[in-house]
Amino acid sequence: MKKKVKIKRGWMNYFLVGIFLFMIIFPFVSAGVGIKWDKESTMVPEKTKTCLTYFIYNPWDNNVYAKIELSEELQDIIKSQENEAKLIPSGTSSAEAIPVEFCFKTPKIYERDCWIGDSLICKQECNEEMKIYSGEVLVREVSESEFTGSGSGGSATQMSVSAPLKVRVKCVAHERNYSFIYAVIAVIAAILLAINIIKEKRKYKNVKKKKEDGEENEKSSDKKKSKKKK
Amino acid sequence: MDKRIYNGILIGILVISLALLFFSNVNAITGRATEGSTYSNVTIEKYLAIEMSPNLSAGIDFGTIETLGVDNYNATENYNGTSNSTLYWITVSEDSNTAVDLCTRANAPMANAGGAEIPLVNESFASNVTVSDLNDPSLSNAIDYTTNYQEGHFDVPVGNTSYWRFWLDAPLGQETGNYNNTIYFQGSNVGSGC
Repeated sequence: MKKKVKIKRGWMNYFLVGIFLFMIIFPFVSAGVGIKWDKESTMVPEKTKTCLTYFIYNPWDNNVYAKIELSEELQDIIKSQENEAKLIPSGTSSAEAIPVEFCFKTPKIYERDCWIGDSLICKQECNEEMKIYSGEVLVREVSESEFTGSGSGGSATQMSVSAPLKVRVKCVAHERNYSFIYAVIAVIAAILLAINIIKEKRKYKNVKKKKEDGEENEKSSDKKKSKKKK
Repeated sequence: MDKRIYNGILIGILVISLALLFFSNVNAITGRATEGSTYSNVTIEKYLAIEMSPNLSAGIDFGTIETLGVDNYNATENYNGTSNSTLYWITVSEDSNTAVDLCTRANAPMANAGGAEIPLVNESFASNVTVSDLNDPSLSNAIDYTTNYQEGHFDVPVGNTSYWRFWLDAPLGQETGNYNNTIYFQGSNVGSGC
């Protein structure tokens, strides 16, 4: 019985040594990541939210964490972005790539000629050159050292793959929009009409009341007269 | 003015205003189509994947430099592969449909905990080869690091490996300490540049 326990302990020690060696070797695994895309440019009107989908894959032997980022040139128009690192399992082929969506909102760029403030009774002529944001969508491999911190000297390394992206901000030309004036006139006309209708109703009620009162007075005077006759 | 006429005018103004409001916000009123059409569509996809070697993933280690005034001090794995090849490499996966341009940059000069720096011109790399031996990648092709992406190895074909070596100059009078920075590698489809 004691022998069996000893044998078990022996195997346990080997197992622990194995785990220890694995832990030492583990940082020296290769790391890789892939990107798949089907859109390199997009044309969006100003002040419009747009979402694009990119695909991340990992045809290699080790799991990796990866996250999607935009290059500096595109940072100006970012509205929201999934910032969490995603686990991309080993052996994920390009055909099984994992979709990751990121969204951005184009800023107001082109000047408008407005009569009131910055947004009422405006026209847009689009004489300016089209604004193009040109940059890259990056899939960055998040290395182990980013999670735990590396204490050794030398240069840490990081890897990313990128896809080019051009965002053309479309200027939509339009004549002066008088909607605001039409709306104001409609509201004023509706208010005046409502006032008139209410006034007329009140007048009609007053006349009706007076009529009813007059009739009642007549009836009562008739009764008095008939009583006197009697 | 007769109130009925007055109300009629107000109703007229209201209707006309609403109609103008409606038509000024309707961009297109389509007529009857007289042409037939069919749909034509194609989606062009690109995909690429790259992998760093285990030694490159672990970082570029220059070990301990005990004598200052050394130029082109080798990174520890520069010649540790078979036939003195380098163990720093980046492979373009077979599961890619485009060749890859590899670019590299440093985030900053190597610095120690006290803030002393080794200028970036002292850290260099060479690549541009898909086969490595004692001679290649060669020091004669070394390029100094900068904080902007620059060409590492362009047009690496699908399924091929790009080999890299790294060197460091440790000038006289350099403060002692553990110096660190981060080196970035970026792969993009061929023709994109850096």
